[in-house]
Amino acid sequence: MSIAAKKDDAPHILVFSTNNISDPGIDMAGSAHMHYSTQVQVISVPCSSGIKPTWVLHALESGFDGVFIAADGTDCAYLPDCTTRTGVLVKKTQDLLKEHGRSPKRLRMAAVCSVCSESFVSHMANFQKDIVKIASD
Amino acid sequence: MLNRRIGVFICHCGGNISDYVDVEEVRKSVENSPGVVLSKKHMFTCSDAAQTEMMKDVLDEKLDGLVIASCSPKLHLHTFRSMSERAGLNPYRYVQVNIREQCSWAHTDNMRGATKKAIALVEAGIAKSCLMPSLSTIRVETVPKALIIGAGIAGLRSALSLARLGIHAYLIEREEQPGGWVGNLGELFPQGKKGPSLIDSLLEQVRREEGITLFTGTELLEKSGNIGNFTVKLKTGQSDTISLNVGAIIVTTGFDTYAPQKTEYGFNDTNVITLAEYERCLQEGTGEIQYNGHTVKRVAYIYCVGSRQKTSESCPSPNTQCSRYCCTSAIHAAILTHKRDATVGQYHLYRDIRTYGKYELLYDEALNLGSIFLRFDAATPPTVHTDGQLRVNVHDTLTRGEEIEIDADLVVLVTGMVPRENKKLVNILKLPIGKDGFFNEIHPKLRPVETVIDGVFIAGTCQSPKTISESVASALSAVSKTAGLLKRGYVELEPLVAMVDADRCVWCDECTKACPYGAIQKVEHNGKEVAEIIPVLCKGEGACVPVCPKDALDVEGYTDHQITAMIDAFSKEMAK
Amino acid sequence: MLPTDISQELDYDICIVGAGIAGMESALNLGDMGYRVLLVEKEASIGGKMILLSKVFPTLDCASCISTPKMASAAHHPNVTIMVYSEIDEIERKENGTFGVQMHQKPTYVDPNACIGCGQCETACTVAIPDEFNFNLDARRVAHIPFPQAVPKKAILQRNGQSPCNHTCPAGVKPHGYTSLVRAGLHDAAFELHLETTPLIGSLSRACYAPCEKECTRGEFEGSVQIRAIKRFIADRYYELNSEPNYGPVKERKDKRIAIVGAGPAGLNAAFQLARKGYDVTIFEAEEKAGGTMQYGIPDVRLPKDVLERDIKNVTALGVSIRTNTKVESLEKLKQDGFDAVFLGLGCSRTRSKREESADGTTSVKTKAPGRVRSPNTTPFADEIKLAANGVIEINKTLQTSLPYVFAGGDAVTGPLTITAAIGQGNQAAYFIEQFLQGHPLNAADLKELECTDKLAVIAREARLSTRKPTKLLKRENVSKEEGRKAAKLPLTEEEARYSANRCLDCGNCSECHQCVSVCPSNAIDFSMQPIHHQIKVGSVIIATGFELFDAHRKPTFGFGKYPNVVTAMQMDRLLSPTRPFNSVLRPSDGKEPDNIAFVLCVGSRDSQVDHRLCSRVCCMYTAKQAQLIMGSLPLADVTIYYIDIRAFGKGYDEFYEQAKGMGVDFVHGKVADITESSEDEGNLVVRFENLTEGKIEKREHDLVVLSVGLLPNTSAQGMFRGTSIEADNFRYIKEMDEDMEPGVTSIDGVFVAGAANAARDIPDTILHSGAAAVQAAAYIENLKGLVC
Repeated sequence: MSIAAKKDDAPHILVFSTNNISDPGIDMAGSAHMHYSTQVQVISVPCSSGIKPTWVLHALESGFDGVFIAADGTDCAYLPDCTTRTGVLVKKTQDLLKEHGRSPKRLRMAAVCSVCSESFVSHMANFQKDIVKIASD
Repeated sequence: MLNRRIGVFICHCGGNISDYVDVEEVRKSVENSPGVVLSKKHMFTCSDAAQTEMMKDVLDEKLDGLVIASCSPKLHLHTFRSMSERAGLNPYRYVQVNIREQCSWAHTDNMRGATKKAIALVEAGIAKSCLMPSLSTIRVETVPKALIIGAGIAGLRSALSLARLGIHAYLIEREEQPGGWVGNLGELFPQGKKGPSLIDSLLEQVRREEGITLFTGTELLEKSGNIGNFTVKLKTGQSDTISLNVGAIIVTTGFDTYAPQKTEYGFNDTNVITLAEYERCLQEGTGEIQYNGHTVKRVAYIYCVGSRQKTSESCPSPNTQCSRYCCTSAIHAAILTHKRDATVGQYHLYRDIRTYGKYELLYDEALNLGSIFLRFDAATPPTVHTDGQLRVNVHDTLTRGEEIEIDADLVVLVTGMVPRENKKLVNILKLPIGKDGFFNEIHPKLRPVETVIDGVFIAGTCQSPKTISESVASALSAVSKTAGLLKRGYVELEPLVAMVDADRCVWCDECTKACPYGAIQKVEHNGKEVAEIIPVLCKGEGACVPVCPKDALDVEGYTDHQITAMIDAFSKEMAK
Repeated sequence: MLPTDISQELDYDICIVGAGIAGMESALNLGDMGYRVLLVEKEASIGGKMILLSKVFPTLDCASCISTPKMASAAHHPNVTIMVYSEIDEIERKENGTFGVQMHQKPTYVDPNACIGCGQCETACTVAIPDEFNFNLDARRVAHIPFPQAVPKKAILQRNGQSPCNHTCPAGVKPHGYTSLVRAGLHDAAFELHLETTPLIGSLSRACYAPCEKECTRGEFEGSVQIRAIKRFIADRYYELNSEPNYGPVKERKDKRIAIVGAGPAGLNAAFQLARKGYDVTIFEAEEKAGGTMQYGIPDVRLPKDVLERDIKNVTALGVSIRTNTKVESLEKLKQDGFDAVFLGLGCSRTRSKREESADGTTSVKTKAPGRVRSPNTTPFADEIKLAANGVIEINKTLQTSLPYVFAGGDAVTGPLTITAAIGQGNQAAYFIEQFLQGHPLNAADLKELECTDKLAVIAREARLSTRKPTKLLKRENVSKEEGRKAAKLPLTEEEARYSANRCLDCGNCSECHQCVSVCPSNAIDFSMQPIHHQIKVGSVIIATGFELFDAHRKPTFGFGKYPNVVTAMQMDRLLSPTRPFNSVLRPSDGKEPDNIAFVLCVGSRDSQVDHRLCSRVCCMYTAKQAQLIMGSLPLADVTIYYIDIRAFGKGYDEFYEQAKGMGVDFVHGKVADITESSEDEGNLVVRFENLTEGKIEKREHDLVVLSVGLLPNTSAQGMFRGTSIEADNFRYIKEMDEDMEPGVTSIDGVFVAGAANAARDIPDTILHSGAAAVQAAAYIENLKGLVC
């Protein structure tokens, strides 16, 4: 747990989680009292393939410093090719961000399964660290 | 602007939240938010006492929306939805906000930060609730009838079970004679029943059963409609067609046997035959075994013919699957052979003996009865020599790769199951096909008889190689799912489905391509072609939403408006 | 004449025994069809073995990710009722084809309606026991939530009977509880726990005859836990730090007054308990000082009077007044004086010991043996209450005399009694007096506690642990003459007390230390929970009790249980699972990450030595799966699999096997004969096997060996049926009468079997089989309904 993560001026991250897969994983991090920054906010949606690029842009324009998509990966119950679709969305979004003068590095995606609590917590810490670097680039 | 009356309830969770989040501050902060008329705290919102109080508040304050900030929705979403219903509030206007697992428990060292975050989360929940309409579950009336395609053992057995549950079964069979493969098999393992008598007995029951209509020489021409209510058109005989209404379709079209190529293991020789042919030969006569006019005293079995294949020049599209039943079947044939004539020498050339479970005892028996087993590596398969005395050469790994030559009267190729081609059917039903060519289930582990097409099930060997008892279990499992769908007369589906803004839509077809469930159709709206969601087929995952160039799609409960409002609520708190 | 709609008579249409994947699948199918299902599970959570797995073959889906939705659906299905931590006692088939099910819900000691799944009890619990969900790889607490994804997510206290020490104490003290607290360093809490039962802690620590030590299971090994010495440590330490009690009279008062006659152990205790409840209590003591036998019957050497006095302060601090030199001779008068109830703790008259000092004051001699009992001091009341021939007071089971408002205990009731037993009677009397004053019926069964732990089982369990070394008992030495008089034994130091407490074997699991009670935010802990029995009428039954794993101890040549680095595949699956006990795959002996792992297939399967010739169907695949997962998490590791035949026969299975080969897993065609420890590298193992490809015997060294254990039948369901037994096949699985055409149909009409209870199966086959069993049960119910004359 990085010290920076504890401070209230750490980067704000919006996480899109998925109802059946990554959200339970984030819950489990809390149940195990794993700590991450309070600057992390989560919105849960049914599937990562349904996330609109404009939401990501809106978040960054509204004060968030980064957006993290906690994707279903291969565990998705709806789509066997969820990973591919989400990948396409991420690319689309990154292009959109570039168009609007935002660094595409402010969007990150990783598969977080329903028991991947450790991985989620370390993603948050790493993402916050990396975002600080973007600001200073 | 907002004429909403939302009640917010914030839970202490007995200290689990309140020890780390200033619940009173959260309560106060949201008290005057737009749309909120009531903001209260509770020690345990999930307790009976609190629920009674919340229900009373719904009635007294005429609340039309509810936000409960407590633990994860995984725990109490259903509880609170039921509670809302009982209080007369539309259950979809209740929103759960997680300030325990995703707030207090993860931030026990930062009360200020955790409280701020909790406030933001609750504000977002309020924003979402403000924009939630009243929704009802989608109810689809179902027809208590099913269509079963293929009257082999799986199809026959399904029909009987369905009828016994009060669901009418239309059983159609392409051939003139129903019964599939089993009708032609001899003595079956492990109980020794005879194939034809099994089929005859089933057919007799089928014919007696009023709840089953059997059509032979019949094919499926068309299918339309949706789960619970399909219209199917059948072609019976030369030119007659029938239209039927069914609630579900079970596909039990079976398998094909692998046909060895002429050059494979000397298959062009008359004394090199498949296991099926050998089994038929075993059924005829008694005493010494006769084939092709000569007595059989030495049999060599070559296993895994047409299964577990690897890509090679001669095999560009290999059958990689194991056909599961053949090891047991071949060993069973060896036991039957021994019972006919104990002097027959039998040689089994195998890669792995897959007599799983109880079938292991058949392997024991064959060994005890004198069968000899030689193992070969896939890289160096046996070679069959048909010039002069029929003989098989094998590098036996059990004797350090020593090359052994076996003189044989018969070489039996233990051939596996391959998927049966059925392009027409696949097209009509849009049946998904897996990498191995068999029909694809939604999830190989947990949902082996369901397909992505709601209401269409697959059972028996058309899904993957199986033994007879496994096919029957599979068939009954499909019946189980069918009955689950049809028996009550209706199904209720979650209303959190996609919707199209017809005014924005320009019918570019992108959404239809993105939807794996066929839940989008083209309709006419005010003179133009637009997309329309078929709610009954929509799963609500939203894959169609981001692909629309006109932002014409939304998923109920996760609309653009709602998500944006939630982000705005977060950012408002962040700015403070 | 049968009812026209038999389902009206039924509580549920179908009862399913076992809520693993088979049970849940059948339940969901039947629920969807509209039938009412009761799903009974013996563990505290549904999910069976599947939820414990890491990933599943051949898709490598995370087992939790795919089972938790099923578990949630089953829990929330409107037609499915789940009863966890429950067992079936008996099932009887009625003539009309329905079934009567007798079952009971085992007490979890946690009220599920109040429990919020926060886990604080688990953090506070002082007893650690091997975690069976992690197959004994690590420990967990007695109060616990079974695992993070448990459904229902409620805590349970897993008690294994009542520890022998707790069970035998006549006073109702919980020695296991305070020993566990001392072990945890919570000495104040230990005192407070003891105080819940009796204020006479110091006295007991000197004068109790310690029946608990005699019952202590540790006594079967090197010697019992020194419970009384631990008690003395607790008392002395607390009294050293607190010369006065830190409480006063209870604030909430009850408006009833109780008279206690006799300030001996029974009376003092009764007074204490009643005063704590807020009653106004007065003790009448005939002698000059309070204490009874403790004051007058036990010499100072053994029980220093200052300790007794401090003990008595625990009572008087509650506002109890002790009127010494006051004899009570009329119970009627007490009533007239406004007392609503009376407790007679009269004791027996004893000769007092006298010590005569010698002239120079250096020695003393006892003149008479103390404690010789004469007779109970009951004569004054002879015409008010019923007495027996020898003068003892007659009481019923709830300690009530012939006068309803008068209760009695101690020597005067039983004849000569130990202090400890008298304390117990005082406690019981206090309970029944309160019931009486509140107008409740008096029920002796209220105070019934759990039966005692089976000591033999504890001994067997502990004897198997190979790492326990004998401990030295600590005895006091070099006691000087001066000290010798005051106290024959010196108290334990803190270090010694904790060491002694650490010898406790936690026989009954739960020590009753009540830490969970004190931290639970919703007051959900309830030690008074009893089993709840149900009689349920159902239309049909499905047995889905799953399988047992082969116990690898039965193959001693493989060294399981002897060598720490030989583990079973289930343990390995836990090590690989996301909810694993450690952060990585570690080998047990030294916590090192292994880099040369061997799997031995067919352990307990295809093996006539253990009378199990069958193939278990899943081991080849799960081994290939674990091999793949290991290659993923320990990329530098070498993985070897010793096999006879690789049975990868299902859909996608052979491809999965080829994939494992492609990843570099070394599949060695060879039968393993034995496994021994390496003489060079500590902890490493030497696998001796017949290399079937090379045709010779070989030895290879590995640093971790995994035994791929097979599946065995779970025979628990077979004794369930009254008047008949369900037919088992030759392998002791539940038999299907026509396995070809009628999957799931057993020898009892209306009883069906699903999943591994009928034969070893993998998950997809289990799902298919369960769907089939569901349909069979549904058809049976339809038939029942159709039975109209």
